[in-house]
Parts: sequence; structure tokens; C-alpha cells
Amino acid sequence: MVEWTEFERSTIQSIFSKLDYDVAGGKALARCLVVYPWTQRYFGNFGNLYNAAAIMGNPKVAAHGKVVLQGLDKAVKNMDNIKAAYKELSVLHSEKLNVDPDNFKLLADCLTIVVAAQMGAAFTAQVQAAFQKFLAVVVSSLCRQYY
Amino acid sequence: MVEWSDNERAIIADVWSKIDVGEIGPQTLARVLIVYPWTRRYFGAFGELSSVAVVLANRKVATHGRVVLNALDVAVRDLDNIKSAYSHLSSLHRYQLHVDPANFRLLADCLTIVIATKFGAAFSSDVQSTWHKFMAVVIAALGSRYF
Repeated sequence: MVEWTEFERSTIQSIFSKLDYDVAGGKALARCLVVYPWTQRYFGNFGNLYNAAAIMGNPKVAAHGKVVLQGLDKAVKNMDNIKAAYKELSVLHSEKLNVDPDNFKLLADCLTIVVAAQMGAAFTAQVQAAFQKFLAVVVSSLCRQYY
Repeated sequence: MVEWSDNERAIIADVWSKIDVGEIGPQTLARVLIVYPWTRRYFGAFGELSSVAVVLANRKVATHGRVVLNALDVAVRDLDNIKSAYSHLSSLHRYQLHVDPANFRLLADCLTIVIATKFGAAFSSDVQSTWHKFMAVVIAALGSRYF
């Protein structure tokens, strides 16, 4: 089981409490679609994804980003058992959505950048370490049901 | 050979012009040592690296961070020939320093995050894409003499 220090717990809670769930998820997802364009293949029915401007302004991307971030919220509220909390989500991604699990890391990286850009200097090395550890656990939990 | 659009060239030059190597270099290397602690094994001669505070205060880390980031200048100035420009550095990392090339990506990730914290919203998805591409080319060039 993953062990979290007090600092890590409070850092994760603090970061997510400061995120605007209406916006941050959409930004991270949009970045993923721009920076790693092959990920667009999963969103064939999202309409115009032809260039960065279109992606950043696409309402379906924004809405779906919010869904994704709300999914992350589940992990934030269940830090001591993310694996169990994500069992269904993992099955959903593997069996229904057929998402290549490599993509989880890409989205995690984009979310890290969104948070870093928002927090500026407050995104210190220790905060970065805690956040990346959290995302690594999330990614690992999402991958669990694939095998 | 890597192809760079005019826009990409402009973005890279612009980002680089806003980077203070003396400030960003030390931060980047410190983050690598903190967030990915196994990397400390490469720096046995740097003295104390046993805690976050100590890494952040370590003068050798700061100096070396500057050295590493200064070396990126070579790539920025010669975008069309990064592989040959880095041929010597690649051999150095392979034959003398014995650095696992997986670590190049860790450093690139930390540098990207530091830049994101400094640039905030100005680190748009277009800038992130271009910078990511530049880092990927640098990483490939540094790994080019390994096999």
C-alpha cells in the first residue's frame, strides 16, 4: 500500500482545493491533444481539433476535461486506497474505451504543467515530488485492470 | 533531419532568451535530485544530498546546474545540427560519465516544469509543444552515441 507523509497529503489536498475544476481539466486535456496529437484519435466525435486554437476553444474538450478532473477528485478523496477506488475506471478505460495506458502518463504530465504554470514559484521541488508521486499512483491504478 | 518551422524557431529563441541560466540551471538539477532521488548516485562527489534542504543549498549542485543548462545554448544556436553538435557530449555521457540515457528525459521534464512555473500562462500549449519537440531532439542527440 502506498504510504503518504503528512506533507504529501496536505500538499495534494491544497493543490486540488485551489484548482478550478471547470477549467484546469479542460486545459490539461487540450494540451494533451495539442502536444501529443495522436491522442486526438480517441476523440473523433469532438468536432474541430484541427489546430491548437480550435482545440483550446473546443467546448467538448473543456467539458470532457472537467469529467476527467472530477475522476481525479476521487483519488484525492481516497488517497489511502486509490487502487480500489479506481477499479471501475480502470476497467472502463481498458475494456470499453480501449485507451492505450501510455496515454495516462501523457495527461498526467500535461496536468503537472498546468498546475506548475498556475502555481509559479509555489510549485517547489518538494511540491513537484509530492504531486508526481500522486499522479504516478493514479496512473498505476488506472493501469491495474489491463492485465 | 529535423525540420523546424519559422514559428518553432522563433518560440525556442524567445523562450531561451528569457531563461536566466544562473537561476534556472541550479533549480532544474536540484529538482531532478529531489524528485528522482536515484539520480544522486551520479553525484557522489557533491557532498551532502541527503535531504531537500541540503540539495537546494548545495553549491556544487548549483554550479553543475549552470554547466548543464549552458550546454543547451549550443543546441539553441544550431537547431539544424543538434545531433552533430552534441556528438562529443553524447560520447562523454556514454563512455566517461556512464549516464543511463533515461535520465536525460527526467532532466528535460524538470526543465520544462521550471519554465512553466516561471512563464505561467505564457507557457501556452503551442509553446509547450515546441519546447517538448526541442527537448526530444536534444535527448535523442545526447543518446545518439550510445548504440
